[in-house]
Amino acid sequence: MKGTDSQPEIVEGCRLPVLLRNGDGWHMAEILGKKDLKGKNLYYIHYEDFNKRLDEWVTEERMDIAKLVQPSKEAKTPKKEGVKSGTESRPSSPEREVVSTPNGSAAPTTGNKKFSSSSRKRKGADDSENEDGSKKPRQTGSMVAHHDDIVTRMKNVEMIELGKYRIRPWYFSPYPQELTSLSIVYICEFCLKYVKSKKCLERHIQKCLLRYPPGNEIYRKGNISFFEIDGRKNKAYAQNLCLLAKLFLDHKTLYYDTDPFLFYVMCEQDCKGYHIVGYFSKEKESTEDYNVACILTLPPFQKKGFGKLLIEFSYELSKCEGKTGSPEKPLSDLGLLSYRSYWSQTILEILITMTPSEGNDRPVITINDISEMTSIKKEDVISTLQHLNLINYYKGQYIITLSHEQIDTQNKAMEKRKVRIDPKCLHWQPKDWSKRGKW
Amino acid sequence: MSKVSFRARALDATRPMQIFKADEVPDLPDFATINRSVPQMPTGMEKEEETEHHLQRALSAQQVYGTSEALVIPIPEVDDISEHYNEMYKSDFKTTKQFIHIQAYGMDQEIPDYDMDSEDESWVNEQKKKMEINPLKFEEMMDRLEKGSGQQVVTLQEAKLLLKEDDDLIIAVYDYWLNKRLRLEHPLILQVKTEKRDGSTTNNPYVAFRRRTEKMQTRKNRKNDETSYEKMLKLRRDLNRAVTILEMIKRREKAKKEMLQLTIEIMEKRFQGEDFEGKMLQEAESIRHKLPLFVPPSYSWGAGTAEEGVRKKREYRKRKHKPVIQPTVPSVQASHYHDIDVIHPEPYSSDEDGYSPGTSPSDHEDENDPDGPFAFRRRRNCNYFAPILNRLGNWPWHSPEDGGLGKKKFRYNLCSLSQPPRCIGYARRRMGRGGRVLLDRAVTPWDETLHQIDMSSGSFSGVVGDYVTYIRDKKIPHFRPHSPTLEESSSHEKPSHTAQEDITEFNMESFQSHQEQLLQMTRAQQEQLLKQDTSDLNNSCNGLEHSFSSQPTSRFTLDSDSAKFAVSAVMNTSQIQNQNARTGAISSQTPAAPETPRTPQTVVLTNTVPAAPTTSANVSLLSPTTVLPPISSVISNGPVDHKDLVSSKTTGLSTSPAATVFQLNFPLNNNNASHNSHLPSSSTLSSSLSNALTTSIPNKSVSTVGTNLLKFTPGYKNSISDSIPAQNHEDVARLNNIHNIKREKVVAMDVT
Repeated sequence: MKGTDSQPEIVEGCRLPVLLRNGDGWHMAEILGKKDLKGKNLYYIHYEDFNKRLDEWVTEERMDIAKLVQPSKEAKTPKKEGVKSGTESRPSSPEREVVSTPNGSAAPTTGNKKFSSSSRKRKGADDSENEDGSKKPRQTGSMVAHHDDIVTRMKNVEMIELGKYRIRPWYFSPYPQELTSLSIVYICEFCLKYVKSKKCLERHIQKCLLRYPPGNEIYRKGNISFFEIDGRKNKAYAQNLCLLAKLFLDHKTLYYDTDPFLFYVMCEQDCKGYHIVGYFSKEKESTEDYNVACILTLPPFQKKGFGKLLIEFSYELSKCEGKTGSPEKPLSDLGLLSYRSYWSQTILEILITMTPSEGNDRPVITINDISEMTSIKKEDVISTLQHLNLINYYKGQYIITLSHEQIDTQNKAMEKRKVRIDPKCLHWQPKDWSKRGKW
Repeated sequence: MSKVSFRARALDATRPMQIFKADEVPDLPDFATINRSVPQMPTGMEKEEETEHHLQRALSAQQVYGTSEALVIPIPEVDDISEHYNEMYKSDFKTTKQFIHIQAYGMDQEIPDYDMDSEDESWVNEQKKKMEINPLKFEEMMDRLEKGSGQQVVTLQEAKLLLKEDDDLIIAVYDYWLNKRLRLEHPLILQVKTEKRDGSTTNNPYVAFRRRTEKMQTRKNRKNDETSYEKMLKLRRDLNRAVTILEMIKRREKAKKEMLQLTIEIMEKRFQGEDFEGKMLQEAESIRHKLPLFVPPSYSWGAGTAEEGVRKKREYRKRKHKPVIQPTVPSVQASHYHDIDVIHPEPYSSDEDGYSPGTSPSDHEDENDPDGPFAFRRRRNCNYFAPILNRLGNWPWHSPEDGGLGKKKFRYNLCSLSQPPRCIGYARRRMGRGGRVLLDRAVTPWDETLHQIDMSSGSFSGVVGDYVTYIRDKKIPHFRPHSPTLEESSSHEKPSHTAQEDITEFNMESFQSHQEQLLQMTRAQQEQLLKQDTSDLNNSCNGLEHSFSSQPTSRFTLDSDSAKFAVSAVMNTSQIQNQNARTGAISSQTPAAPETPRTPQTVVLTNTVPAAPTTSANVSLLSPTTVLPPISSVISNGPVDHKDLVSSKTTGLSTSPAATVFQLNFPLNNNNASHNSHLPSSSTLSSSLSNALTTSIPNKSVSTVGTNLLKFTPGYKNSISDSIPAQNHEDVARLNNIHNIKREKVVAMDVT
């Protein structure tokens, strides 16, 4: 760093190793932004192959500038594009399996073509991109595919204070731009209003009468409650909730209003009131059998099984509706893990407890049976069975085989899941929103 | 076992599958390779994220250990600040036994959105010493100021209206607020940006919660909208009625009050005048009856009462505008209702349930009265027919083919004015609205010469003289309006006229290429000009006699703009048509008057005008040059039928120059006329055209077309619109002539 002539200019697009926070050594990162803080240069970096939520501002001390790689002219843009078009390995994509035909020479090219075309199709379907350039997201659903614009790629809120936690946001959220310059944005735990200072929050709390989300309590067992909030009737709360959730959900879109959604907020109750733990939103009318739009356990409550509780609740609602459902895509990494875990446990629970019916020496089940019992969409059941390696082709037919390890792990996992959704505690009638004309 | 040839059946969701424990099927590994055929499901993740390091690590952990607990996905840190938190939030919450139920919209809290910050707090603490202020009050005031400011910051005056406090306090808070706002340069209550209408915010990432413009509506809903719309219309009508009734009651009560006051006044006057016998009263009564009334006689409210005295004019006048309903005088009452009826026609004319909701919107629009006193109002007991759009009306000057009566008296004849004495060329006379005499003029190439002729005077020399001689020799009918007697018809030729509707399309290229052609034509034909004049006249006169044109029945209104436009459009189209005719592509056309008047009558224009007397039969028999659609009539605004004349007047008079006025008052082809008189080239051209016509004479129908040809000649002039300004003063002169005619109330014409 001393040799001024040898020190290259650090600009956006440069790549270099950065020291990880947890002391796990150095990791290659790309510089996305630069700012000056009290005469010190700060760089916004993205760790390669890490999720964006770990992106951060670092000082030069944590950067190995000697190993700086200047952005190559071609590589700069294709880098993102290349990742986008999905040419890199995708372990569980269906195309890959389909392509693996014995016909060797043709396979890679067709494979690549398929990748790019399918990804384009998917993008088109998600964004409903108009040819004239006025790109507007589709009006249904709540998720959006990546559109890496440099503003939304970088976190804009440094820290939030919510209840008794100070949380570092993971992603961009369109809070008023004036707030983004603050070191902490204060959020009222009950109405989720954002204010700029602690004093303001104190004042607000004195005036704010809410001690629980402004909706109807539809489930209560122990200290866990669920509130249903109509995105049309309680706009202020729904918008505040969405803004908060956007801090932790990369693909969530806040492009449109909250009218067509219902919000199910899970709360933990104590002497101060009902504290938000997590929530999921749900379209009043889903054209694609989605029973969840966005789902989030707030970071302080993660890894405690609340996510599974939320998912379980969402399927409980689907059971009431007599439908099967699936979460809206794309899933995040944590979403995929949580759902896979929930699906696995739910399906294994059924399979293990199955007893042979009369006249059979073995228990028998169809995929549709599982789907009906759990309200998990058929495709998700299949993918779970497959992921768990439960389906085997044996003597001309498919069978389900359970290994002892699987049974053991399942039993252990279920022991840990002490809090479960009790259908008896749910007081909820599904509404037919299509009859109302408007959401 | 041959694994390669083996092919597994597709996984069937409805097919029962047996559940085994792994050790129950020891030979399973033999079959393991086939598992690949089970289709892999997509993860549902974004592709670029699927490959992320921590996820892959966790996924493999999940697969290996059944749980990913050992290798979690790292997340940014969370800090616990319980101490601070406990101070802030009160711990007094007690939940209900029942589930919490919130009434929608029941949360109307009157709490200010503005939250005081520490800066505010110190300021408020400072002010507390001087003024009566507390944090909540301060926040309320700031809230109002903030919300009162949209694009523009509220002024102190507005602030005083917004805040109902002491002036001192308002000024203090206002100054503080203004300073703070100016310093921070952004709203003090921070809100998420919302979209702007101009679409500039489409890609702004800080704009959120946009409205969904395209509501997902189904047919069902739309139908719903329709019925609710109808209901709203009905409701509006009912409410309107209620308003009217209330207004009338108000008037009645006012009138009652006034009557009472007047009675008192009269009594006082009579008392002052010591009119105890009622003499003065009687006098006043008699004066009243002599006065001319323009409102139905008011009421004789005093008639029944003996002690009525002097009635003064002033009082009387005042009252007649505010009629009093007195039940004792039924006849008078009726007239009152009539009076009200005129002023408030709505409750009587439009409220009957018989009329369909579909018509009501337009009825209601009439309330706005865009036409003022000229607005069309339906009369009771009157049947109104829908306008005939695809054909002409049954006017006597229309040919029977067009649905008209085809009266012979409506042909074109030579015509002279008596004041100033000169010939105006070919014209025909119609009765217009209110007995007005309309002269429809036809354009001929001889107009220039004809206009110099005064048939009443003696001899002429030169060409003009030839004309006069010719006319007299051939006994060509010639008329001159002389006195306001009833119209009478003259010679009776069998009308031969035909109609044809076609559509033409105009484009700029053909127009320009045609202009060049025209130039050449003009030059070539100029030589033949003079000697053929007379013979041409002969032929075309015959043509005129025989012709019975339906063309002037164009029904359309012109405002000044559209008039200009129509002129140019017609000119252009006519030229093209001309060209078409020349090249043998015979098609007589509609001037596709593009984007002309906005009124529905435009349709009429395009449909009816082209009803030219050129049948396909004629066309086929004639040389191409003769097929000239009579578009000039469009310019001339033609003989306008009654209603349209009215509307033309109302729209055109105010803005348009003399030319338009002229057109409106005297629906003649003034443009054409002036061209002929000023532009020898066009007349020569037309002469030669008619020359061409003579060569193809053998067929009788030539004469039919003659008129149209002649009338059409101005189409050859390339720039009608250019020449218009130059003509204006002459138009005015001509207009004066016409006024003269009108003043004479000339109705009939006689043969010279």
